[in-house]
Amino acid sequence: MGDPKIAGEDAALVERARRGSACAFEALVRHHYRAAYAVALAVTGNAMDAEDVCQDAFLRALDRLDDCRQPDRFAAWLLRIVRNGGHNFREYRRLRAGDPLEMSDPPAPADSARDAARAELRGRLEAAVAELPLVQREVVLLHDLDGWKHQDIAEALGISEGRSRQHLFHARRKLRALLGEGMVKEYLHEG
Amino acid sequence: MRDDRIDLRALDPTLDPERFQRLVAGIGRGAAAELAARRARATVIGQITAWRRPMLAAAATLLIVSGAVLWSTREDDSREGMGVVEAVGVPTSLASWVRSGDMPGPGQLLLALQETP
Repeated sequence: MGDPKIAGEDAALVERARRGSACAFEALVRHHYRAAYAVALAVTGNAMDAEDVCQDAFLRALDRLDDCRQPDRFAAWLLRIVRNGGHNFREYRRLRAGDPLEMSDPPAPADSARDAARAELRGRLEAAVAELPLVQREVVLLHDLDGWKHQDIAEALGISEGRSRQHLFHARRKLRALLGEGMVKEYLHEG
Repeated sequence: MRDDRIDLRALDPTLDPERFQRLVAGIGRGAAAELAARRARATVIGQITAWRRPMLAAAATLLIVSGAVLWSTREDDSREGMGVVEAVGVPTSLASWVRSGDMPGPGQLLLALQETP
């Protein structure tokens, strides 16, 4: 993302991963999984597919690592692979099953009451997020799930910062309407 | 600063450490072969192996060019018996008169001038 320290770390990790360092590659996966998942979830509409898309995207990214010309911008490069992978996955699913893609898969069986509650909440959130247009899904998930700044979202998605702010505003408003204020928490954090 | 972000933590795939570890491990398993190949390419022997095909192609090209040059040189060797005078296109009989210092007769001279080198 925009943080020079993180960008520098990414560049070093990419260089080591290019030489075959499993540790470096794992660190890249850990650093960027949530952002990749946010975009994959935005595109596919459900958690299981998003995980598959993420796995495939990281492996593709490794195969093409030598094509990453700006390793300090690895995240934006990775997200393009995730987006393309997600769209291909949607198309594949549409052709194979003709399923309505905005529907979420049924949640996996839960191990405990806490897991069941979390799964139910996740299902409701996924359903609400699926109601948003694609770009709003991507913006709100990157911003509110992974804490990205508008500058980085704009660069990764190829939109202006102003548009990113607008999309976030509209996405939040719609999510509040869909979920009800009771489900929507507000954070106090240092900006 | 007050932020009105929406709590999407329930969607966070890293929130369940065991599950996240399984996801990361799965990607690691999928990446193992490619990473091993990259490590192999990063060594000196790996570099040589990686360059083996282009090096073989370059060696073959060099061999063909060298063979062609040697062949053309051998053809030129057949002209070694000739002197400089023949090499510049003077007929052979004229050249031998020049070397020996003999004076040809007018008939011989006429025939020699009709001769091709």
